[in-house]
Order: sequence, then C-alpha cells, then structure tokens
Amino acid sequence: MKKTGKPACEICKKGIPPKGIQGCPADAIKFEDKDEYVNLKVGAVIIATGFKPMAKTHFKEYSPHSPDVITSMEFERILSATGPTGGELKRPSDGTKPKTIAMISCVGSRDERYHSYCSKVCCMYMLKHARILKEKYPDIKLYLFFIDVRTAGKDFEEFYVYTRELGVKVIKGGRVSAVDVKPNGKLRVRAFDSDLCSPVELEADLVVLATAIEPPDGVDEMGRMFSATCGREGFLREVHTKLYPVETSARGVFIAGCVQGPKDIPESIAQSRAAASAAAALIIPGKIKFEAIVSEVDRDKCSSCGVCVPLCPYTAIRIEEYKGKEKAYIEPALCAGCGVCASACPSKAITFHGFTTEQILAQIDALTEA
Amino acid sequence: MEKIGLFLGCNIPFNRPDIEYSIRFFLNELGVEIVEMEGAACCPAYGTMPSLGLLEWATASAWNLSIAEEKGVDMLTGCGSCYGVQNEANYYIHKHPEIKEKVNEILGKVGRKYDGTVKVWNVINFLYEKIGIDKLKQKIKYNLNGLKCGVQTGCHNLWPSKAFPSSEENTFFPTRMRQLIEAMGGVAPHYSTITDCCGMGALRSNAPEKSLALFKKKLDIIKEELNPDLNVIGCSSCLLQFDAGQSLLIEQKKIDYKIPALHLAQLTAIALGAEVDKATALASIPLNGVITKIKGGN
Amino acid sequence: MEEGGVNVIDLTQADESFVKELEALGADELRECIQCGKCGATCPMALAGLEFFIKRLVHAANLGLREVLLDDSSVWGCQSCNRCVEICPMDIKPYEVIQAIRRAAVKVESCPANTYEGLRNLYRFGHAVFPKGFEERRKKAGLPEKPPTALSFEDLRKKYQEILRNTILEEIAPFPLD
Repeated sequence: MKKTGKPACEICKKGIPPKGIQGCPADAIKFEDKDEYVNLKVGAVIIATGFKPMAKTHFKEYSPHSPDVITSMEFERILSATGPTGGELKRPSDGTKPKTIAMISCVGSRDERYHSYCSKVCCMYMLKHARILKEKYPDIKLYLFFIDVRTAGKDFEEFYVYTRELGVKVIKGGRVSAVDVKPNGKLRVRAFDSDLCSPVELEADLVVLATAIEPPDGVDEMGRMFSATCGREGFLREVHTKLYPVETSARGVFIAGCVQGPKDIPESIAQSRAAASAAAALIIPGKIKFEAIVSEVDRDKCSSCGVCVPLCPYTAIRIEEYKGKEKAYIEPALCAGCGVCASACPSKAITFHGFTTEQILAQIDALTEA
Repeated sequence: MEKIGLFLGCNIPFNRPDIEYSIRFFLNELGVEIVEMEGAACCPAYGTMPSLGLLEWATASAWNLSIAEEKGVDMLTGCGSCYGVQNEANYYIHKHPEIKEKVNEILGKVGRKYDGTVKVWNVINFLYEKIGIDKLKQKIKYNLNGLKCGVQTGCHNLWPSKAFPSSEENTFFPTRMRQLIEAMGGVAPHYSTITDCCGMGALRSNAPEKSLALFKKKLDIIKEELNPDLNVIGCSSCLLQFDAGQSLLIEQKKIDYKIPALHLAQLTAIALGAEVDKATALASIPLNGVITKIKGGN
Repeated sequence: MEEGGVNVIDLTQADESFVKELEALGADELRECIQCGKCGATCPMALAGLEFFIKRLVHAANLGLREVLLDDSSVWGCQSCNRCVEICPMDIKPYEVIQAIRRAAVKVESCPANTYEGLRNLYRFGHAVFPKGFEERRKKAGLPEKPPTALSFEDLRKKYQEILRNTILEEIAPFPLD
C-alpha cells in the first residue's frame, strides 16, 4: 500500500458509510460484504484463535462496580492513539486525567478459584504500560502491585530495571487485598508490602487490573470438531511439551499462540512459525508416511455392527461398501494406533499391528513363566 | 405463623439485654413466634472450644443446634460470633461425616443427637429474607425521617460466606442493612471502610490499645465520609465497640465527637413502636437526638 | 527473640513434624500457600501491628518454626473475621492455620490466661462471656433476671458439662471439671 502522508479519513470507524459518501475513498473496505461459509479442502490446519481477557466482574473485592476500575485490555485501548480517547489519558468516570494509577497483577491468575496458571505476559505488559505513561507524563504517580515480578526473557530484566529508573514504584508480595470507593470518587487500594513488612494503602484515581488470559469461548467445542483435546485449564493441548509442542492429538492439526496457553508476542510468533513448518513438512512431500502401529480391519470377518466407529477418538473409521456389504474401514493416515477399536470389536476382526492377541499372550506367558 | 428459635449467646443476655428485648419485640410485632432454646449455651466463642479442636468446636455447637432441631425450628441470633461460629460448625458437620459421627457419639451420652437440619440466621438476613423489605415497610409505626445512618454489618455476618444460609451479593460491598434502613425511612450511604473490622473480639481482650486504635481509624473515616446521626450495627460485639468502646475513646480524649450507636434489632424495634427506655436501656452514648428525630414525625 | 538477642531466625531449628501436627489440627491445606500476600493488608492483626499476623504466621508455620510460633501470643489476637478465608486465592483457609496453632499452643499450655477464664466460664455457667451485674442490666431492659439458657437449667447444664468432659477439655483444663 502506498503511503500518502494524509491523515486517515476514519470513515470506517463510523460503520456504515454516511450519506453522500460512496464507501471507503481508498476502496479498502467492501462495505457490502456479508458473512459466508467457505468450504475448503485442506491437508493441514493450524488453530491460532488466541485468548480472551478475563472480565473484572468476578473480583468483588476490587469494587468492580466502579467505572474507574478497569482491565489492562481496556487500559491498553485508552493508551492507544486509535482508542476511544484518541490516546489521551482520561479516566472513565469523569474524563479527568488520573494523577495516581495503581496496577494490580495476577488478577484471576495463580488463583485456584479461577485459573491456577500464571498468565505469563502481565508482569511485562504492566511494565510496558508504566514505561509508556512515565515517558509521556513524567509527573504521573504509578504504583505496580505484584506477587513477584517475573521477567524471564531476553532483555526483560533490563526493561524492568529501566522502568524502575523512571520512578515507577513497585510493591511486591503484594497481591492487592481490597479496592474500595471513597465518596469523592477516589479508590483506596490496600495491599501488603513484603519489603516494608507492612500493610500499605494508596489513594488512586484509576485502578488497572491485569486480568488473566483465558481460553477463548468455544475452544473445547472447536477442539472436539478437530479431535484435538483440551487440557485441564481449557487450552488446546500439545502432544508433548518438549518434543511435539505444536502438534495436537489429531494428525494434521497444529496449534500456535495463546489457544495453547498464555504467551507473549515473540513466543507466539516463534510457535506459529514452528506450526507452519510442521504443516508444510506434512503437506509438501505430497505423500504421507503411515505409522506402523495402526489398526486394520479384516473385512471378511467384520460383522458390520459399527461399534468401532463412534469409539475412535480420531474419526479414522468409516463404514463403506466391500463385496456388496457395509464393512468397517480404518483410514491408516488418520489412525493414531490407540487400539480402542481392536479391543472393542466383538468379531475380533480388527488387528492392532504390533499388539496382536498372540503377541500379547506370548508376552504374558513369558512374564508368568519367570 | 412462622416460628424461630431465639439463640441468645452471651453478650446479648448479659451485656446488652436491650438487644434481647428488641429482638423479642420486633419478632412479636412481625408475627413470628419465639421458641425458647432452653439449655442453650455459648456458641462457643472462637477463642474457647474452637481453639481446642475441630471436634470440640463442632460438638459444643451441635449441643445448641440439637436443641433447635428437636423443637423443629431454625435459630436466630443478634450476635455475629454466634452466627459465624455455629454456621461454620454446621458447615464442618456437613462436610466431614466422620466428625458428625463423633459429635453424635458424644451427644448420645446425654441422650441427644444432631442430624444437621438447622439453619442459623442473623437479624440482617432474617429481616431481609424471611420478613422482606415490603412487609417491614408496611409494619413500621415510626418512620426514621431521613435519619442518616452509618452501617456496620460486622465481619462474622459476612464471611466465610460459603458457610452461611444466605449472603450478600457482594460481601465486600454489603447493601442489605442499607436497604433495610432505607425501607424504614432512613438514609444509609456506602462508605469506603464499611467492611473493615471494628477491633472488638480477641484483639480487644488481648491488645485493647491496638483494638481501639483500629476502631478509631474506622470511626474517623465514618465521621469524615458520612458524619451520620447514628451508627447502625448488625452484630452485638461490634455494638459494644461502637458504643462502650467509643465512650472509652472519648474518655481518653482520642476523639472529640460522639456518634450514637444502635443494633439493627434496636432500631427496627423502635421503628415498630418499642418502648425506647427498654430498647436502648444500656446505650452509653446518649441517643436523645436520634429518638427525637424518629418520634418527631410520623 | 530474646531481649538483647541477635535478630535472626535459625532455619536449622525448623521442625517438619510441627507442619504435620498443624495439618492434623485442621490446617490441612497449609502447604499450598504461595505467599501472595492477599490476606496481609486487610488482616486486623496486621493492621493493629501484632508481631505475627496471617501472612507471616502461615509462612512460619510452613517452615515449621515451632518455638517461634509457640513463644508468641499474636494468634490469640486473631479476630476470626474470616476475611482471609473469603479472599484466599489458593483456598488454604488461612484462619484454620491460626486455629491449628492455637490448638498446638494449648496442648503445651502456651496461651494467655484469659483463654482459661473463658473456658472456665463456659464449663461452669454454659457461657464463656459471663460478666458481673447482668441481673441489673436485664432488669433495665425489662427482662427476667436470668435468660432461659443453660444458666437457668441445672439439669441441662450438667448434661452440657458431661459433653464438654468428653472432649479434649478434660485433658487440658487447668481447673477442676466436676
């Protein structure tokens, strides 16, 4: 796209084109476009549907009814030049510029009542917000409340130290106990300061809650659609944390970004590149290597009962015509070799290669002989 | 007619029997039959049996609960500790069948048992849920005439909410007492330390200076943010702090103002036409202005 | 810390069996605490400035600092407000840790004298709080001299006492139970 140097027309912000203007002057937006379903035949899928920031309403001890208690995502929008305030720092209740801001970490993360995991990115983006504010408004008072400051990452600790040098105040150990609204609209924040060995309180104009990164809505349903499983916390699960970090339990289905678990931008990019490479490695050769350990149907023995079909976690079994009769067929490219079908088949028509009945019995014999 | 077992505890019958009079009065006026809990003992206070063991706690509470169960009633108390202790005991008894079994083994030695069917109510939740705002509004004889009230629900009436039969929507922003007072014609704004501890209790017994310092901070904020005509208290222990405790602060010249204090039961009884002399018999901070305001208009 | 002593807590003196003892006394989720500090700023003990308060107590308990904890009387100043239980993100029920420490302390007679006074009143009269002059106060409120509690019914009070004698009170009470 060519840069014109002109300010953006912002018509698109107003939604449907106002009278007299025929669409986007740059012809960048198709206003007449509608939602549609597109059927695609693909060899691999990368799921990268991101995350959802947790809402503040859960945190009753933090006066969620106050308009001046906001989430970090809302604060990010307030700081943004394209946000609702045009990048001007204003607090939601009365539009005044806050003089003192408290930021609270681990809101809903590291919390058995909501999410036991660490949301990983909050410590750093809180420091980022603090740095942006302090560089723009050196007189602003910023208090960051942490359980502990987690800065594991390249250049992160340096970023932290730099932010402290700007005069940002850091309170540790540390998780805020209460936020109460005063009649004058100010917010009283109360926390324990482990370094001072004392409870502390602060009168703030604005309180920013670094709420947890949550799995996106409907991720479990989507996972089921792809035969990919979710972990205890509701994120899609990789096959192996270290060896197969972008693969799911369904072959050809890969994951990248926060749908797999909380992570920051560099990590998301690294993971998405890995997922793209893994998908390419699968597709580009034009042929697929089957696993040796898969199940196979002896269709002459198959009684066509169909028990195996819904049992298969990988939707690898279908019923198809064979010698004029409906018989089960296992697609070797999809079979993951779990063996569920073989153990369930009432006609003993399914062979689980590598684990046949004879092989297993022989193993048992060998063991019991000793 | 609704029936309720009146659980008195210790502080109400011995230190502030004017609350007992008031509870009895408002229950009568609201058509609730009082069932006496003959033989009921201490709840038992947190620093006694609960500090010896979980079984000790559950057993001593179950003695009281079994009396109500035998009479087929729930219990009502005006004391936050009695509410908290017995509800928590109930919670443990439900959660730990092995404790319930042991409790009944001990109760069995004196021919008693406790199945776990009794609920324990406090004055706030009883008025709010069992009586209801509308009925209370209809029944009052004296409107509070815009009397400005500072509200103290009391910690034990709020937490741990999971052990209670009924709870505020947000226990850190309680509104039930405020709604009840407003239903009677008063004004009861929120203030920023509404859920702060008043300092009464074990702290008062073991570190009285620190307890009063904690109370002073809360009272100063009430004065600064609300400057109310009256503080209305949901717990008899808190009332001791807000009334007699405040008198101590005045005596020690630590504060230079006076805010009268009444238990919610007392204020309700007065609005329903109770004898003021009896309903406020033991208040140490004079209530003249408050009563005049209530009785001034009708 | 002894007067004039050096301000250091010797971790080698820590006793893991104390942690187990506390777990058995009701603090069963003690070890899950991550010391986030949420309980620390609204704990009345912390605000009142007691030497030990909920956050510090839980940590000391987790370290197994038996002597340190049993030598200090802060736990007896806990208001039982249960705000810590309501807000604890790890659901360790911090208040139960306080009660567990109290229970351990009572066993070695390391509690303030007024604890026994409450227990004695509870046993004798059925009421832990039993202030003098209540008859007069009840009269002022237009009520009979004695409330219809265990105080008024000797037979029921005896039964209540029998129940109490069937608990650990029998072992630890430094006053006669008869």
